[in-house]
Amino acid sequence: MPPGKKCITDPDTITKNLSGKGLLLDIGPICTKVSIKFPSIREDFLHIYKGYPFLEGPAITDYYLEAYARNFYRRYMRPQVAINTYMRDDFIPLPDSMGLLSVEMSLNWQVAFGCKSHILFHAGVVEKNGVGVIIPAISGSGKSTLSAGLAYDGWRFFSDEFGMLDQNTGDLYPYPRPISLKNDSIAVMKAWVGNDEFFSREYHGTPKGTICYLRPPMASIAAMTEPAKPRVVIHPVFKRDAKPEIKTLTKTMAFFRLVRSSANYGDIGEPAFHALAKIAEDCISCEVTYSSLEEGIALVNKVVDEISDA
Amino acid sequence: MREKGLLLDVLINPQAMLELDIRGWNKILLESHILKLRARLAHDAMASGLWDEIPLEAQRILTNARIETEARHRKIRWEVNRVNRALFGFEDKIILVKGAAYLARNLACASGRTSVDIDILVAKKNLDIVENFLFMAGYGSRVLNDYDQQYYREWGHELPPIIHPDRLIEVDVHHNILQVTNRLSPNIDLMITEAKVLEGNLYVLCDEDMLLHSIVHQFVDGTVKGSLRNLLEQHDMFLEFSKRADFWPCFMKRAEALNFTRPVFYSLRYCRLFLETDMPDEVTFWAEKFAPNPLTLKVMDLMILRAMVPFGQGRSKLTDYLATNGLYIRSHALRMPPMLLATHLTRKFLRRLGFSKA
Amino acid sequence: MDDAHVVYDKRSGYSQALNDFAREIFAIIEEKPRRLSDVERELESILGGPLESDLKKMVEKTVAEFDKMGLIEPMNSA
Repeated sequence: MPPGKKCITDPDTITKNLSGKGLLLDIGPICTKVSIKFPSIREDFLHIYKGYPFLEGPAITDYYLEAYARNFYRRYMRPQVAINTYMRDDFIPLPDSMGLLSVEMSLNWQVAFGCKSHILFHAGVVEKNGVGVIIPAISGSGKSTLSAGLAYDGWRFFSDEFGMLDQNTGDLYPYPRPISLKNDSIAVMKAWVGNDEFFSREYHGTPKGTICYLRPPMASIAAMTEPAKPRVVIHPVFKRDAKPEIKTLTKTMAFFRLVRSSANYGDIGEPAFHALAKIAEDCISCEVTYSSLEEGIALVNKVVDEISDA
Repeated sequence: MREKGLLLDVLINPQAMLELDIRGWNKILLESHILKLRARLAHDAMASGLWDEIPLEAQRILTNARIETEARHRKIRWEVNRVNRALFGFEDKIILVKGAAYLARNLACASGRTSVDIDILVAKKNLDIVENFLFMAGYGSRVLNDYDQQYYREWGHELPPIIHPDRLIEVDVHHNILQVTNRLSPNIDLMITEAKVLEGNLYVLCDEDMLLHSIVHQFVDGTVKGSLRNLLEQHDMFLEFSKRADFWPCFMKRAEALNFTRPVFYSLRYCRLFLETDMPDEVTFWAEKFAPNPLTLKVMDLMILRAMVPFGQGRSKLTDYLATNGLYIRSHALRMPPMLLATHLTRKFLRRLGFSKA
Repeated sequence: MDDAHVVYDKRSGYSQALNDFAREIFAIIEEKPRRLSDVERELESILGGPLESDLKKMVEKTVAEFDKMGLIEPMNSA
């Protein structure tokens, strides 16, 4: 739990805050005040955020998120959830049955758009024995599944979507939100984790197919304020029937691929240039091709073991 | 006058940040976000030596705003560089105005300011030439509809916005600072003549004109929502420029010469009332000559008050909305003679509904 | 870095990779403003011989690229 901050543990208070003035959700360096006016969405939310730190106020708040209904019709007749992020978003209201998706996407939006204090990578990040691993990739390339698989294989989970790097210290900071899984990877992860309670229900018929959220391991949530040094960068390539392969990248290639995966590199400017150049110089960067989750995890472990031995 | 809100207190006196409790921080952080003043708070905290004493969370949130604004500034400075490059070979004056000018001159009002695009002023006869230079360098016009093109050129005081696809920063090329049909439209040649050189053929308006430009945009030509920023801009410029011994006399003379005395009256009045801007008594007395009748003044006071201090005590969202729209309609009415206004609004309205040009 | 020079232009915020050839041309111009013919001549003195037309074209192209990326600018000149 975040050091020096008091958390609410009483479920009634949690529900009361979430349905009313707002519940303070503290994840890594970001504190968001969330209020949800639909009971069904509240239930989904509290399920995947079970065990997360909800702060007893007051606390300095980074972002405000309100999930509400625009009017009586939209609340009770054809329920639809509208979101206010206070940040010029263009979200289309979704039916309340998909409300959790709206909330999760909005939380992502706020971080992606608002966070400049840390260098953001569109990447999964995990850590073991002091070795931080960054897994950058475009959506749908399997990074979420790989990050989730590693998280449930003894690795500490930092994020599946937002790698955060402190530009001054060069440390990676955790931002462990629930992991979003899509389509085929849902079944794969349910088999891998072996406990359905950690998962949200499945949301069918979304623009991206079926989506399901997985709560990260409790130990990762408990350690969410502890940073780690990046030592390895893995660019995953998931291809069925592909031969497993590890390809080391040149430093220049590593550098530019990191730049491409960072949404706020351009805004941060020179400090980001130096930070990423340092990672390209000091870390092992490789492209890993794999055809199954087990294979991917084995390859990651192989790369990391090799540098630990070196 | 109504009691000022917490944000105003902190803007006038950054030291007040040290007395904020958590609720206070949340209040000013949220309000400054909505009013686009967060980067300014960041800058004020740093410039006043308070940074290390404010809570870490506040530092982080303010840093987000600072970095975002600095990134915008970099983009604007770079765009000015690219415009200058595109105009290589063009020799008449190119005058930067508004945000781009403040940045180029490193004025106090530039730090923490949210600028979004570039505004340049050229002589009317050069409008098409400049446009051609820019097109040759890869810029394109944002507005393709014939009616809107005509509106901008004939009634507006600018070319339709131009943008380069590589960088997506809008460049607005003006030949005047107010619409030609506006009652207060100045003799722009006076301003072009007095422009000061930056480097090469890149110029900025002289101090007085720069200030007058901002004033005239806020009190005649712009919307009012969030225009506390603009008043702050004027406040900063008054403070910075008045370090020159001859500034105030020059300013008063210029305001009269360009016929901007009514907007100046408002600016001085509200800078004093909201921001406690320091100004010599003789300036205040001089400005009184240009006050409107008491009824008009009362109405304006009410409307501006509500738009400037939206988070003061006893505010109502409804009055805020009315005040803002009231002021916008007022400035639109000043922009074009009433008959033309009706035609323009109708066409725009119809087009939005999907009807073609009547 | 290992196979290229990576530069960050503070003014534009762009990051670029320059190969050795481009880096060399850039260094020549960085030293002092040059005409294209001056750059060619300098390169000739470095390489110890006249430039073939292919190489000349590459120089021209590189300089044009630099201009486009904003790494160099034309000057009104004597």
